[in-house]
Amino acid sequence: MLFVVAYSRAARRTLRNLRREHEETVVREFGRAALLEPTGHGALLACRLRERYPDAVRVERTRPFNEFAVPEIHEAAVAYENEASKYTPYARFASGTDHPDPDTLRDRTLDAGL
Amino acid sequence: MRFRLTDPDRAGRAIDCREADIDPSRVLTAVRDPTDDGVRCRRATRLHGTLGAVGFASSPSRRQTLAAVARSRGVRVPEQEALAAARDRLASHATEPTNLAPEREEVASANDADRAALREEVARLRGVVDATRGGDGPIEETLTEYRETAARLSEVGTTATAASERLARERERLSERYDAHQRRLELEDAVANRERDVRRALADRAAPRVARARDALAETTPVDPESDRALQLAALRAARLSAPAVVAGGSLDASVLARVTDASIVRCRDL
Repeated sequence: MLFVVAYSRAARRTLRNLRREHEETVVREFGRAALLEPTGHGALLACRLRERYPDAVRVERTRPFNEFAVPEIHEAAVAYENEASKYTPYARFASGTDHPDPDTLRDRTLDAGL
Repeated sequence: MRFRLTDPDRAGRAIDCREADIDPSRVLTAVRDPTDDGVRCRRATRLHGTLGAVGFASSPSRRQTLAAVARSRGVRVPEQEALAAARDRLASHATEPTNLAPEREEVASANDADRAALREEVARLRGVVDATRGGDGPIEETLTEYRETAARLSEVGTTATAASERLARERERLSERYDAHQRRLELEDAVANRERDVRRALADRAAPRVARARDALAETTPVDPESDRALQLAALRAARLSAPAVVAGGSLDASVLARVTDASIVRCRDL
């Protein structure tokens, strides 16, 4: 989908108006951000916003996230949520286990296909 | 004022142009636009936009109206200092451009159809070269063409990689600039909130005076005191407006309007 963030009052107002006018394309609106359908019409709205507010609109393309495509991270997260006490930081939880440490996680870039 | 939209001209504080059938919006423009010679009068201020048109399609809110009355009388409220400070903060907050359109365009054009066509051409020439290798060897021209095309493809590929890397680098660099843009939005919101505070405070200050004006109006005219029109006329009476007010429709004529509002008036036909 297309993720649009407004960085000025005018851009935010326009984004809200778009949501009213194009409910079928503006999937969801979060205050000053919105998700647009990945269709030609969604792209048209994103292009129009960029044209009108070149410096006050940020557009990113999102993909669905599949946790099973990053199994070792998924497993670490499941284990941390289920096994660690509320006050254990992840770094302490991961040390001495097979789970990736925080530095490894930070340095790892997700594949484009995820 | 001198009213020049009718022939002959007219002059005075109260001008009735109902029978001339002039569009009230035309009169309003002539009053507000200093370069428009249709009405010669004292220059309209920004407040004329709120107070100077009665009976037109869009009327300002009650709070806007009352605040404009206070402003016309030079009323100051402490909230204006907070507003000035908020405006200063916004004015001195610098943001840098975050537009990466040129970089994106470069990436898109470096990856476009030309590259695919070039790749196909290289494959085709390669086929020709391979096919002729067994016999007399490839024709020198074909070989040269193949080498040149392959070199061009590699060059285009290098350009595409460089463009993608540049875009990625710029995106990273810009993420900090977005923080500054976000901060500016917060400052813009703060200014809008302080403006609202000022409007509310000014409106509160003007409210008693406008209420008295409305009472006076109700005593001397048949206008419904609860109507929008009564509020607008009472506001005119309570305000100090330099340029004439333009009144469309209603039951009162120009001289009555000028008397009860203590303002100079152009009375027009209905919209």
